[in-house]
Amino acid sequence: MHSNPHRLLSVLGLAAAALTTGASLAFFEESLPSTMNPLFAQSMVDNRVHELVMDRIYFNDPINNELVSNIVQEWSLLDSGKSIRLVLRKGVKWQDGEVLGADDICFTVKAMLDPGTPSPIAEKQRAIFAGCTVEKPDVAVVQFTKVFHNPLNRLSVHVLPEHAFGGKTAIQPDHEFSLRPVGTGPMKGSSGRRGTTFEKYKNVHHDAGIDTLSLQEGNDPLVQVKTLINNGVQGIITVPPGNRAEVSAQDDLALKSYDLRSWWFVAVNQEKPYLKDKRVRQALDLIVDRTDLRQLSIGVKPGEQNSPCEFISGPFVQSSPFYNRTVAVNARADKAKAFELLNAAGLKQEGGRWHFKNEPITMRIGMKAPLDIEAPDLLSQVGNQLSAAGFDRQEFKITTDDWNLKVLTGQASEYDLVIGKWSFGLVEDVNPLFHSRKDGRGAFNVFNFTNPQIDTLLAQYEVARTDTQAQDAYHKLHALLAQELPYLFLWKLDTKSAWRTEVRSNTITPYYYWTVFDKWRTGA
Amino acid sequence: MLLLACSGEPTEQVAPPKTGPEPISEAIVSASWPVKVAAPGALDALLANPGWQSYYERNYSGALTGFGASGPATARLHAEISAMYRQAALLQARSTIETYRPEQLREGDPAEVSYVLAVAWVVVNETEKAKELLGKSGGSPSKALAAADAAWAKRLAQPDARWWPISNDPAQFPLAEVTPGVMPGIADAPHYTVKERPLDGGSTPLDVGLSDATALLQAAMWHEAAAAAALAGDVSVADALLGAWRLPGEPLNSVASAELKELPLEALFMSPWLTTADLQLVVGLNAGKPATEWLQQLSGTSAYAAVISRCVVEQKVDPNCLQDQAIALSQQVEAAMGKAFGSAAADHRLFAQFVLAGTLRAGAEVAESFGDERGAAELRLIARDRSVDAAADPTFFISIAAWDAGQRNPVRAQELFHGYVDKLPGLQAARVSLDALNLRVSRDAGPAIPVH
Repeated sequence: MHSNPHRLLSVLGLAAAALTTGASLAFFEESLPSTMNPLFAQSMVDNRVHELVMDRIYFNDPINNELVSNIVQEWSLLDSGKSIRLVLRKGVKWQDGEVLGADDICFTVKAMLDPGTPSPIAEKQRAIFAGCTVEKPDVAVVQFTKVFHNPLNRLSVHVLPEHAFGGKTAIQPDHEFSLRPVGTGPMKGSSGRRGTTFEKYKNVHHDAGIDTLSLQEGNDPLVQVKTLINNGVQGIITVPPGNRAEVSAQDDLALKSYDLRSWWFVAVNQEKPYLKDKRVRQALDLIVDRTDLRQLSIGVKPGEQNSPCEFISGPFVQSSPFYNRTVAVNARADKAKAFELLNAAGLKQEGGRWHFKNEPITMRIGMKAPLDIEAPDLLSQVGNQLSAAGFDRQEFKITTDDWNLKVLTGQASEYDLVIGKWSFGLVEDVNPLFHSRKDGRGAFNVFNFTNPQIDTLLAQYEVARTDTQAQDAYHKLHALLAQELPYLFLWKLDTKSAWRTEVRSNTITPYYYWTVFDKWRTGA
Repeated sequence: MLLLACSGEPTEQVAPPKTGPEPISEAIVSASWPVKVAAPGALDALLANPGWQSYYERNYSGALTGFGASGPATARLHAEISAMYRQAALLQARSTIETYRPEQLREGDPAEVSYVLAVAWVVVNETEKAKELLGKSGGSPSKALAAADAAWAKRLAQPDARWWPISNDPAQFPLAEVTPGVMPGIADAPHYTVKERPLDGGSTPLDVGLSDATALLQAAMWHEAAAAAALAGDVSVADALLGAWRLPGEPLNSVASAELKELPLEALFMSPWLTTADLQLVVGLNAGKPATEWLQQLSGTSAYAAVISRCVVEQKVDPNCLQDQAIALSQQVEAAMGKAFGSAAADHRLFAQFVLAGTLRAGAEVAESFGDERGAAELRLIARDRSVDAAADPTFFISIAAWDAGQRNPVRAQELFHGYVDKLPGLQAARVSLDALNLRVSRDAGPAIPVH
């Protein structure tokens, strides 16, 4: 006879939560949005809220992936496919009452083409769009730079209102629109210091089932889950793996898959004299014990099946076709080999501490603060491992604002290491992360890493004419980055949301999340 | 996590189900496998076979070793493996079609893609399209691919040719003699390496790896034969369990009439089907039974038919209603397990998860039968989220991936398939094709930048 020491789930755990009444929802986000202007989205939080407020010209249905539009009634190709004629749906209004017109479509295209718009995504769109002309008030003709296969797929851009910018196509990130946007989406958004609120805006193409939506910044994940159980909020966008069992055990809550490709890294500042030598970076890669980190921070035990957290050896998730599966991951530390490399690079260990040119090394380690929710104590655990290997360290949590203003712009030189996460959808373009900062490239090159071989591979990817050429370039990139190590690549962590079961028809769109928000409802 | 029998001391008081939808007949619930195994001693008897612990961990080789060369558990496992290979073949075929059908061809695509496309058409029962493409790769520098092309051309030239008889042609990935209780090795993918077509402007053509769905089809057939052999030629278990997973155009064999023999407990334990009648519901729909009448006919024996019937509105299945029903049914079954055992136990919740996922999956099949493909897909995605722990069924997940591939949605398909690609030998073949689709679709998309 066996006893059962494994009480896997509480039996019939009943939450004494009140049912939601009215058409209001509140939810916890990872942080507050940094901008409501989609041209300047830098975080997944930004991307998600834009989907509530704005319409993209075309989008993929999250269920059957059909390419559809809420604002275009019909389309046809012109100039042998080099242009596309879009007839807009009649009666669509901006949230300030103005009518959506072809001039707005063309304004959006021209704003992206305007070199005075300092937007990384606009920079990318300049390779796609050549111009736009208003044929009629409700008919726009968008010109492409060349004939594309499946051209509608290129039209996944959010439409901006020309009148909100006074027709000026050089759009700046600090424009008032970034705080008080005007869109044609289902909800009108307004950013505040403590949260962001959204109110339903009924339109000919949107009629949301929720009247008000309140975004609150989440902190302690345990508090988030308890608040959800008590119906203080109705949803959590990101539930850390360590808190998922508690959610699963509640009959009133449901975990929901949120498909996006996110991977975590420790960026290494090779501009520091002692980190310039790649042998030192390779040594750090061997000092970091990913298995222990994952266990201590994420709660995954060694050998656990179906882990939500999978190690990576390069800048892609393992399920990606760009992931080079021949490059092994370092799951465990190898200090002996690491110390060999440090000695070979000229570092000396004195009194158990590593020195460079007779000065003790103190690592300043930063981490984007909201990540502590998803991976609790990761910053401290990385620090502990480095300390145990003989490096003094100081730890810093970096606010989202500082992350945007300093880290992403390559001005965080005070740090030796920063811990972060990148997210991708269908397109996994990592060129902005590793290309040398020049001519608008390398926009998110954290520590201004530069390597001509890497730049060559990134260029090969960019000009690839065949799928195989693109894959080949990124496979080689992966292998080279695993040697050069501008990042110590950690892991992919899958993302799960939690919603109360009285929230109905709450389909989560991969990557974008709120794309079909119109259908969301509340009610038991 | 260990799967342990709950025959120890009682743990907690049995809680009544929450107020919600009306309970279904207690007789139906009592006949379900979770309630049967909750009876004192019943789970112990099953778990005496170590194969179940391996099965719980989705360690299929270990489970086969534990179950041995004969018996219903072995037959069930071979049938499940066969189903998984079928869905992987479908995933591969749909990926290949969406990558290389004429309107999706790109400069540089190797000439030999016509062969893998032909096999993909065979898998989805578009034999005439396959015939048009076969026989064109005889001049390929890849001798293996040229031989495979010739073998399929010859095979389809036969009257009433189909893919399902096992082929012993050396070019068609033949496997060793069928032996129950064994996991045969399958050829590693990619199966062929060919060159891109030269581009205008003269860059050096790169090597392209192609994989052939024939290997997965052969594996599917081999395990189906092994399932029958494990029961001395009795095909009832294999036919019943595969009835939900046959490929387009494939016959349902002995269950074509939707008459299923009562299945042994070993065939249902830790499956989404609570009783033979639940499986009969799904198999019957696949056999073309009209959904409304079929639901009505089975409502007295199938828990799923009973609750799904309550959620059918104008030839659609209301997903919100079905979620409520599924939750209530799982609670009812859990309470019945507690009653049968004498107290509640953690394993009861674990097994109740199969009920939740199974109800939603059956609901998806009903929606599909009504012709509501989108509604079916929505229910499958809800079922995906509700398929947790042991109820996370790889075959089901791969089937969603296969559907997604047909919709040119590789990201979700990759995510779903990635977790299972190493579960069985040779599944890598499907990933090669899915990778190709992912590359094609992502390079067609508008630009995007990394975000934090």
